[in-house]
Amino acid sequence: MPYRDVTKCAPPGQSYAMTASGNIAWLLIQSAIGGTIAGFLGAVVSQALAESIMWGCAAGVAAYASLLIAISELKDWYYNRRLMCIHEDQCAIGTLVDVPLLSLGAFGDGDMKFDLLVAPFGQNEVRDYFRDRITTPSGPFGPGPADPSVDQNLVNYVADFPEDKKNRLYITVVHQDMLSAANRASGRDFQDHYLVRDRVAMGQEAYDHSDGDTPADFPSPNPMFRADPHETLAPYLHCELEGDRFARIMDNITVALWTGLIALITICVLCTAVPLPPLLCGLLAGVGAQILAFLAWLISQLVNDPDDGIAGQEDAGIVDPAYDGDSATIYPGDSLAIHGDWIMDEEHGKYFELHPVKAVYLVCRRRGGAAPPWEVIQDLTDRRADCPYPLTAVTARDAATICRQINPAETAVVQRAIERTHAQALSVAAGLR
Amino acid sequence: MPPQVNRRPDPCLYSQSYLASQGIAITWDNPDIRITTPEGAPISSTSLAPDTDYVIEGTIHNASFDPAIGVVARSYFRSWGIDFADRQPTELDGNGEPAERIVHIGAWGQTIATFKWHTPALAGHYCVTVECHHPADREPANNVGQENTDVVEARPGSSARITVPFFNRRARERDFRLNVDEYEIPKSHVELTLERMSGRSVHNRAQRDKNTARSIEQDALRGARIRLTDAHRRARLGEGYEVFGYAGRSRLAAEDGHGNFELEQDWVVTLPGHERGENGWRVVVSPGDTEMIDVVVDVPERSIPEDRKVLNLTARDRFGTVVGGVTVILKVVANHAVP
Repeated sequence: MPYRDVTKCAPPGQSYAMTASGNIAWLLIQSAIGGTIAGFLGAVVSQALAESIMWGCAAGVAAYASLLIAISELKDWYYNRRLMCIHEDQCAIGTLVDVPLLSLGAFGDGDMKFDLLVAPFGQNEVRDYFRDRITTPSGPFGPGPADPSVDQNLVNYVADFPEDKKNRLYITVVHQDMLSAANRASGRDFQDHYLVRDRVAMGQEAYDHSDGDTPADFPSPNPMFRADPHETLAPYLHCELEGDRFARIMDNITVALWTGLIALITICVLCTAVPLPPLLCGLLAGVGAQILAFLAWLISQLVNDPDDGIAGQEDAGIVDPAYDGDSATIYPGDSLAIHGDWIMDEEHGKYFELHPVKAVYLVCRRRGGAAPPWEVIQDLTDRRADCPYPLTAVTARDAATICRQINPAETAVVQRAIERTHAQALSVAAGLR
Repeated sequence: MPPQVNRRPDPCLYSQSYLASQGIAITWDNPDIRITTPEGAPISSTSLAPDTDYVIEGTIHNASFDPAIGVVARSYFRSWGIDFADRQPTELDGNGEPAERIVHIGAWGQTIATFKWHTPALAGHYCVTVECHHPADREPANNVGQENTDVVEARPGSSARITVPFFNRRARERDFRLNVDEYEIPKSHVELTLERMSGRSVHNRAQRDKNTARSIEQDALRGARIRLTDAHRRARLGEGYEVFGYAGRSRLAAEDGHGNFELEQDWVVTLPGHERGENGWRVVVSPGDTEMIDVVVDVPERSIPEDRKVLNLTARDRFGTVVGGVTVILKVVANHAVP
C-alpha cells in the first residue's frame, strides 16, 4: 500500500508509555551505562596509545555514546513500542467533524490528525443528546446555557466543564443516549466498538491491557472515543495519517552525534602524535567534535528535511503505482470510510485510534458544501449539492458491505489478468490503459 | 488529503458519449440497461405497453482499483428520438424527487441498480437512461448510458422508411451531422492483463519534479492504477512511482473503431431532403423545434427472411460531439408478412 507506515505497533503487553512507571529514568540509566562502558573503553584505548589516560577524550566518548543510545532507544520506542496493536486493517465509516490538523512544532511527528463521528450517528443527533442532558434542570450537568438553541452556546458551556465533569457527561451521552437500549435494539450500534470497550471486538489481550471506560472507572476512565468540545460536541474516533518528521529529526541528530563521536576519537588519536597535554587534547577534541557535529546536523537537515516528512503532502519517497498526483480536499461534514490499523497510543492520553490511516474513501460531500472540483455533466445537475447518502441512513448491513469491499482492495494482491465480456470491457474502457 | 491515501473510484456504465469521444463505435442498444416485467422477464424497449409496470435494471461498473462506495444511480425516460430534453424519472421517491439507488461496487466490480417504471398511459416509444454519480469520480464523463432502440420490419428489395424525431434543445439553430453504421458489440470475451507503463513511470525526485502536475493528471484521468504488494511496499526502492493498469483500451479502439462498420455496399440509407456531406447527412433544426427526419433504407434483393441489420443512427454537432442517436434493428421478413 502506498501509505506511510513508519510506526509499528507492539502486541498488547509489550507497548508502554515512556512517561509512565519510570521509563524515562530507565532510558537514562541504560544510556548512562552504555556511555560509561564506552568511556571506559576509550580510557583503556588511550592508555594503550598514549601511555596515559586522556580523561577529556574518555568523557567525550562517554557523552556521545550516551546520547546516541538515548536517541536510538527513544526512536525505537516511539516507532515500535508506543502503539498497542488491537487489529490491523480495520474499517470505520463516519463523518469528519473538524478540520484535519498537522502535528508540527520543534519535535512534532508530522502526523495529520482527523476525527470521525462514527455512523450512523449524525452531528445534529448527538448535539441534541447533549442539549437534552445539559438543559435538564435537576440533572448533574444543568442548567445549561442561557440560550441552548444556539450550538455555539452548548459548545462553550461544555468546554467550561472541569475535566471530570466533562468526562462524565460524554460517557453518559455515549453509553446512555447514543448506545441506548432503543438504538441498540434498532441495530444502530454496529460501530459501537469505536465508542465503548468491547472484549470481543478488541480481543482479550488488548482488552486486558487497556483501562476501563465505564462510569465505574472514574476518576480516570479511558474512553474509546475522544472529545474536544472547543471544536465539536461529537465524540469521535481519532485517526492519524502518518508522517515521519520525528524520525527524520532523530536521524539528523543521530548523524550529528556519530559525526561528533568519530571526530572526537580521530582528534584524540591524532593527539597522541603531538606532544599536547591530555587535558588540552580532550578540550580540543571536544570543541572540534561539537563544531563538526553541528555542521553535520546542518547538512543533514538540508538533505533530510524533516518537513518532507509531514503527512498530507505527496510522498515521492515511495515506489507507488497508485500515486497519481490526485490530492483531494475533505471538509468537516464530509462522509468518509477510513481503512487503517486500530491501535491504542500509550502516550497520547491512551487514545484509541486508526493509525496509520492507509486509505480514505470519500463517500459523500456534506450538504451545502463547496462546488466540487470536477466537471459537472449535463444530465446530473439537479440535487447535486445535497448529500444523497447521509450516514445516518447507513445500516449494519451497508457498513458490512462497504468494509467487505474496501478490505480486499487494500490488502489483496491485484489480479494479473481479469476476463470480461466485450460489452463489459467497453463499459469500463475509461479505466483501461 | 494526499494522493497516497486518496481513493478515487470510477463508477460508470456503457456510455455512448464517452466511447464516441474515444473514437469507438457505439450502439444505442445499451448492454447495461435492461427492461423487465415486474416478474423479471426481459422485454425489449421496443415492445413496451402503455400504462404498464416495468423494471429498469442498470448495471453500474467500477473501472478502478478503488471500491466505489456510495454511488448514486438514477433512471429516466424521455421521448424516443434524438436530443430530447423532456426526461422524467422512471420512479419517484416519497418526496416526488427522482428515486435514487445507493450502490457500493468493489474494485473492477459491477452491480445492478433497479428502478420501477410505470409507462405513461399514452402509447409511445421511449428512450431510457441510467445515470450514476460519485463525489470522487475519476472520470465523470462515462456516467450516463442510453437505451434508445426501435425494431422495423421490411421485405427484401423494399425501401423501409423510419421516421426519427430530432429535437434541438438549445436556444439557437443547430447544424447536425447524422451518420449510419452497422456496429454491434461483439459477443466475445476479452482478457485484460496488468501491464507496467514504463514510459509513464518516474524513478527519482528530480524526474518527478520535471513531470508536471498536468502530465500526472493525465495519468490519473486515464484511470488505471494498482496497489503494491506488501513486498514491493517494504522495498521502497526509490523516489518515484510506477504506473500500472489493465491494458485494453487501444485494442478496443482498434477493433471497435468508429469508421470500421460502414454499411454493406448494397444496403443504402438516404435521408430525402437532406444533403450528404463528408461528415454525414446534414440536419438543421431550429431552436426548440422537432424535425421529423425520414430515413429510407433500401433493403437488398438478396436478403432473405430472418436476416437482420442493425442500423446505428448517431448525430453529432459541428464539433463532432455526439448529441444522441437511435439504433434501429431492421428485420427482413417474407414478402407477405409486411402489409
